Amino acid sequence: MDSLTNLVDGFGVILTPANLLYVLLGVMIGTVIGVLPGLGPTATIALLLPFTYSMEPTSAIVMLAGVYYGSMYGGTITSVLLRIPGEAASAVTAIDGYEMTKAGRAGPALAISAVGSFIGGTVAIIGLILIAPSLAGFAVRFGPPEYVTLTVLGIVMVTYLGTKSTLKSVIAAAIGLLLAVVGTDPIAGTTRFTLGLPGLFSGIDLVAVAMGLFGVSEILYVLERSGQSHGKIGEVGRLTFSREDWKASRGPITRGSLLGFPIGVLPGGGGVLSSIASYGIEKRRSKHPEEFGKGAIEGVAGPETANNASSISAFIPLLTLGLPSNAVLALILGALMAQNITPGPQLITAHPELFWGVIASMLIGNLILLMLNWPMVGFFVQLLRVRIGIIGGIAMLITLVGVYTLNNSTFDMWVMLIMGVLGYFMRKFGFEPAPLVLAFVLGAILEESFRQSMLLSDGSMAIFATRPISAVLSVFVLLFIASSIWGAVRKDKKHSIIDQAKELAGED
Amino acid sequence: MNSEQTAVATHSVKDKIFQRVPYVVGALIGLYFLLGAIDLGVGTLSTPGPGLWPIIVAVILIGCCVVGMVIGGDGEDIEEFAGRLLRPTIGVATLSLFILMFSRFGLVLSGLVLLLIWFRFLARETWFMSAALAVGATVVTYLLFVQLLGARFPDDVIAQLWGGR
Repeated sequence: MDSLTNLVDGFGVILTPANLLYVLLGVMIGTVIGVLPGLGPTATIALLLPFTYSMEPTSAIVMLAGVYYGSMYGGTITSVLLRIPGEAASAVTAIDGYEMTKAGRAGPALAISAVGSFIGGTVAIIGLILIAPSLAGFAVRFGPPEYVTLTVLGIVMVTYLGTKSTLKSVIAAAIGLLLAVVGTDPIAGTTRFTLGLPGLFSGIDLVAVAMGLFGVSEILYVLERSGQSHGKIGEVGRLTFSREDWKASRGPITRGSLLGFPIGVLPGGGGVLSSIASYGIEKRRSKHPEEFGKGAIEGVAGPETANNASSISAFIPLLTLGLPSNAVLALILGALMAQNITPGPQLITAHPELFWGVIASMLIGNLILLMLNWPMVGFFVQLLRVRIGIIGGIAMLITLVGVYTLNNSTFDMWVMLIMGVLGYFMRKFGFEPAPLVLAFVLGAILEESFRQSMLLSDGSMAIFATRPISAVLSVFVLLFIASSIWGAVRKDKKHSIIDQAKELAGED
Repeated sequence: MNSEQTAVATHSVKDKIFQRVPYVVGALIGLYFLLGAIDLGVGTLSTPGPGLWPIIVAVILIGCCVVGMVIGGDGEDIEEFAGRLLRPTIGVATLSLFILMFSRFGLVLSGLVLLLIWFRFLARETWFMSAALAVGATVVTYLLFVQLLGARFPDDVIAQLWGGR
């Protein structure tokens, strides 16, 4: 019952005009950028970071969280109506969603995804309330060796679960760890790899890195093909679904909620993986799998529920351990750090208004999204008429100016541009930028904990195997590494659940 | 026939080299950090120096890149470059121009130039439309950052004409 009183207090924090406005603003912006291809939630949150510095910490996080789960709703709209996923997590929805649109059933597809997303989100919030406090209580006992194994496990899982080549993900993560080294050594105080540039003495700024790798590179990437015009926008029709639709979707929505929740907690999990996994499972369970790909409502309901559930549960590792599970959460960590709040096991007790306020805001935000979706779908679709060069130009101007305000120096602008070019080439060569950013964020924690562990153990690596929690985590690390190598040696490309699900989904 | 076959063959050799470019670049980055880290001082495991951690990571990076060079790319992940680099290059060039102009002339003039180029040549709007949108977006950005958020930008040659900063 303790949680319940805390939650009521959380509502007290959120139900102020200012904070309600930030929730509304967050989910609105999230939906809009979810609709617009080429501007994902990561880029948008990076863009918004400078605005949050002058805000209250709770308001800032509430707004950024709203952008994240709001984008999951927005991405659905274009997937269903145009077969263009506004953001990656809605890619599988495009398969059956667009087929439904062609059959004149866009209304039921959008309505069932809105309801599914709402249910998935709510289930995940309840899960968060139940799990987070006890997990944080458990994590208070973690010392440096536990943090080393936990962050290594996180990075290993990000590379393992990534949607592209594991080897390439490991390379990206290693580069991220090396970039994190640049700056002043936290223990010895010497400067490292600064190239004599004063701008690098305090390290490379996370916001500049993230804005470059996600914002700038994404815009450069879509610039390539922006000459293409969108297809005809399908008729939306009435946004309702029949009793048969609901009967077919009930199971997928239930399973999507239960599946999305744990996947969101995993490092590197999040929306993309959970929606693909849900699609795969629904197709396998279905009595009529041949209808998948031809407009099966189950293929819309399940993935949409799952990606929304996972976008909520992804907050658990950050709020309880201080470790972000994906690039979006890494940026939210950056926003908290800028406010002088270091997330970790103490967050819930030290800043209850923040923790419970964010949870209350998620419940309200999901409700707003459910209500917004119905009347505003038509308006959101109109946004697609705006050409990417225009969105891109404005986004670039705001990004450049925003990154300048970090330290009032053009140095960060150049860092961002260089990272943008790097990110562009990474995409072209099949490297994901997410492991780089995540490793970059975790790098400082990892190095410091590693060196402290070595000091504690007098240089013995056994410290990671003798303490019970770090021993268990180490075993997982080794298992994942062994499984990756085994898969590579057997030239078996289908080693992960995503590959199998993708196979089923018939997607590349 | 014969020459056609040769052309196909050279093409694929070129592809194989091309697919390895990122691994070579990665290995060079690793090497740079490795050598730099050795200079910084490794220390011992019980008293780690500033160079120990970067050495561990650099070795992993170099190792992975070497594996990548040997087993080669899974070419299917790599996208076509030919004929597609023009627009991103214009993008990067104008962004660089913006940064250079920004520190000299402030936000408004540099923003106008950036947006005008992007709207006219990358979004292919008409000159009139591009100019109107560029002025609108720049003014909104100026008001948002300077007036609303109180950001301190380099002295603005245009805004000063109206008594701004």
